[in-house]
Amino acid sequence: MNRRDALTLALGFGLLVGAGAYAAARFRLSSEITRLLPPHSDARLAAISRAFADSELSRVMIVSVEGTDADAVPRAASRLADSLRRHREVRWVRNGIEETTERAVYDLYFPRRHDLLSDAPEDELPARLSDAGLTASARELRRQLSLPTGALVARIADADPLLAFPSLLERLRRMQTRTLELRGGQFTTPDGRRAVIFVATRHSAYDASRQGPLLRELNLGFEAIQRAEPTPLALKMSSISRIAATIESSARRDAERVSVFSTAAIAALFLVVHRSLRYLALAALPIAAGTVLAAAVGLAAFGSLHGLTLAFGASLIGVCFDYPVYYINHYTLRPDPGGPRPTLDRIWKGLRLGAMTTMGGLSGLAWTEFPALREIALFSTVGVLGALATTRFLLPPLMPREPIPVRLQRRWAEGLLRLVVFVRARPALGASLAALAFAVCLAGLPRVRWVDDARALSHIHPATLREDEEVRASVSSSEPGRFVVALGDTDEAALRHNDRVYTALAELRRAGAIREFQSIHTLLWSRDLQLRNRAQVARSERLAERVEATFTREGFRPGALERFQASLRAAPTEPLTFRALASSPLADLARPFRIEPGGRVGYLTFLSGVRDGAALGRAFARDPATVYFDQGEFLRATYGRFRRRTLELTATGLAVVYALIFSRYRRARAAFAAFVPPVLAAATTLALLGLAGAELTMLHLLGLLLVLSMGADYGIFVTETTHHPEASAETLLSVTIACISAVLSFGLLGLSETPALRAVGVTTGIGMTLSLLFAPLSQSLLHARERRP
Amino acid sequence: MSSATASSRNALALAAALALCLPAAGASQTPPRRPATSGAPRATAPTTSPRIPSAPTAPLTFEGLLARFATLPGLSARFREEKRVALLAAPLVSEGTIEFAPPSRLLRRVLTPSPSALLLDGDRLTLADDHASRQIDLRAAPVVRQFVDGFLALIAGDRASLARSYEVQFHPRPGDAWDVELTPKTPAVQRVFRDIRVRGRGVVVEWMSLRETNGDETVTTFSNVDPARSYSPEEAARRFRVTPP
Repeated sequence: MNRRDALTLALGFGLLVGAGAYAAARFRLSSEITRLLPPHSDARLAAISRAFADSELSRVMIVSVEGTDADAVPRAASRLADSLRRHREVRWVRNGIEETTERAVYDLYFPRRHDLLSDAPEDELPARLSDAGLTASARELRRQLSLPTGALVARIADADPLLAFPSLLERLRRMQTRTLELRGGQFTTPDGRRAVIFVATRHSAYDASRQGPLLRELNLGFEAIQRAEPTPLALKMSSISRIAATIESSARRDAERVSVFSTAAIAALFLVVHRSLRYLALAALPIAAGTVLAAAVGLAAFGSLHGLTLAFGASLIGVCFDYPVYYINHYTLRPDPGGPRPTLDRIWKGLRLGAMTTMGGLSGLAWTEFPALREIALFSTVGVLGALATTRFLLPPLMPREPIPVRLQRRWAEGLLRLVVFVRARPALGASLAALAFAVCLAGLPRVRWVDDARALSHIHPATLREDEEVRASVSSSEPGRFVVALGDTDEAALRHNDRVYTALAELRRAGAIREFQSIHTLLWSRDLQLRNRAQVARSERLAERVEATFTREGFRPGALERFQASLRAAPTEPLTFRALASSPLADLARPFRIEPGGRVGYLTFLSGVRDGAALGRAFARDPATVYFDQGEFLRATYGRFRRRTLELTATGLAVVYALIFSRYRRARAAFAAFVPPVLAAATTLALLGLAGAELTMLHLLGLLLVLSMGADYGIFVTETTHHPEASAETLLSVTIACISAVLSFGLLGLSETPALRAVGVTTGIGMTLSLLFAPLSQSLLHARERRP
Repeated sequence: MSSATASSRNALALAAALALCLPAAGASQTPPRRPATSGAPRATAPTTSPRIPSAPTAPLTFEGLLARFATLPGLSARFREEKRVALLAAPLVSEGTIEFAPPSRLLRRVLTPSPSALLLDGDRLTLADDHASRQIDLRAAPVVRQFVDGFLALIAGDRASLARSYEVQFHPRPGDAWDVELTPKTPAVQRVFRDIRVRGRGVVVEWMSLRETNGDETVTTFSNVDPARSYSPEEAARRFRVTPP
């Protein structure tokens, strides 16, 4: 190794180590959905979606212990709850009624009962506090005292003859859509066969590194408890964290299994063809270097990397595997007498053009207002550039001085050349292949169906989903991800809007648009509404005297309502606020309703039995402070826009690719020869998937981008043989090995259980095979003129 | 939302249970009255009723009384209740019927002045009036469960259960008559009512008073008591139910 090479290697690896250290120190992964949205889109919805995904509600797990022994079930659940309370990841556990809750309800609401009389105080209270209204109240109180529940009423009636507090209790009772009972201090379903524990975690439900260990320890803890019980018990769960962890671990298992197999297969391929693993290491170096550089630049530019950027970008950089493979085969079979560097110089223009077309295609993605697409474009472009530079500067010094061609390698190359010559001599064969591909495209492309539902990307076992729904249904009928949000810059502003939301939803419930809803309005009204109630009571003339006279007339003992009279004279209690509620024993009930989207405050109202989502949307669209939000629909629309824009920009990128190829060859035919096979391969892949009835997702689109990028490289490498016809065999072998490697690395993902991985695998598997099949078309197109007389 | 709701449910169920006011069993001391409605119990025992144990000649003991209660097949009676509430100038008076089928089914219907019903069936307590109907699971309300269990233990003759929840004072009186005073042991129940006093003769309960800690008192007198009332399964299923408004 000469001094120049040593210096190059030192500088190159120094740069890579520096970039790697920077990336490791600054690495931050983002799942910000706002980056998938164009700036002018509804950022408010994105903020709500993000806040909801990270809200306390999404962190609550519902754990259910089930069995036939009505004594063992609550006993085991209580022990499990106690063990969960000690876990560092658990914020709180609720499995029964705290002693303090009942008292808290009284302490919070009884002193404020006259602030919480009516949702429409100006309309309702004048009549209720009139003489006729008070007479009706006195008769109602008498009736209530005569009922079996009279003893409860009697305990507060002297201070609350208008029965404001019992009305509040009734609201609380109605808030509960599913009944949980208490058995041995533990929540159970009415049949006693299921005990329920609510567990809130400290970190996001999507944080697999935190939730995975908690779920494992929960299962282990339950197994230990179960062993001590005489009858069999079962643990069931409903939680986002469990679903997320299931998806994550399933995808990881799949990826690990496939990557182990594909790495072994590619290593075997290199061993068979080159009799050396050194070349495999050299082939992997540009991809590794490109990814490290891309991560460093991406983090410097954006501060964090979006998950989609990593997935798309790292895959696209994988395309650069072609460069070292192309170089290694040329060097081992037809080395330049000057050594590795002159050999690389010989093929450099083709390699550079391949990289430029990939970068040119990706640059199309940069011309967009979607932040995530710009990220992907920059990340991938830097990665491809880094891989190309690594191939150019770092690989030659690392190549062996004396390449030893392997006999099989040479035979294989010569065999491929004979095959291509055979095909070239039979133009009808190429024409038939192209015609067949066009026919498939015509039949299949109109049948392509895109699905933008994020759920289509992940695999969840149906039994897990059933269990999740079953457990959730046993405690709540609310539909997850469908709610109305009241927004404001402060809690008070948001609560004022929430008061209106409550009234509007009550109307919609009467109209049949929804079956039920759960609002924090049951627990908390805006200060404004509370004070308006108070003002109506204060404005009611001689209320104390009239109450005394009316109730005495209706059979109440004179002076019996002294506590009520005193409460009218007493200094008023401060209206109830969210802060007061959140610092009371009722905090766990209130907190799930509140989110902070984009620095604002939002109060959620959960819906069940939504029969007319459009009516809900219309009802709240008029008020900018209220939103009907359907998380699933929002994500579908967002991913759909993103996917359509990516498709449009990919088409634009293809035009750039063609222009780049044309600038190299200056002949339309040659440019066409390099361009047609990858486009035809991608289109035919899409058509075949359409014919197979597959529902295509964004990950299929990623697969198509890979096919186009790698296919373009193959087309260019084959077209390059017009400049170096003596190296045709080496080029064909390079393309074949690169294609087989791509199928082994990406295509094998098609065997995955995870739909997202399978989508990439199936698309690249079919696409790369077709690319290889269509590569001779380049030769046919290139030599068509030669065959003419 | 379950905890807050369950709290109110506890309180509600406890209040409902206070109104149970079981008459236990025995022959009426008052002249029989014709039932006001078809829902009222029959004034006389059916011919198929088992023999009611006759009064023993030995001095009456609490254990002896419980043993006689334990043999009863069921019960029906009319009642008149006076609820003396501190708030009201005059007591609230209501009248109705009560029926009991061992081991744990009890129906109390108020017929006047405003109809309502309370049904206890195992662990489930149902309250209904002209305005609403509500069910309460007594497993979710342990205090109420304890209260109800006390009554049931008395008429079922279960001394052990009774002793778990109450201090019992028994005073025999001449002529097979007796007084029982039950004082709750549990602080949660003690906070609501002070004691239950029951007077009877043989297996007949004639009078009952429930005093609350706030001074309110409910006094119930029983008439037309049929301590030999038995219910076939079909009849029990038909009678022991309330219809929501």
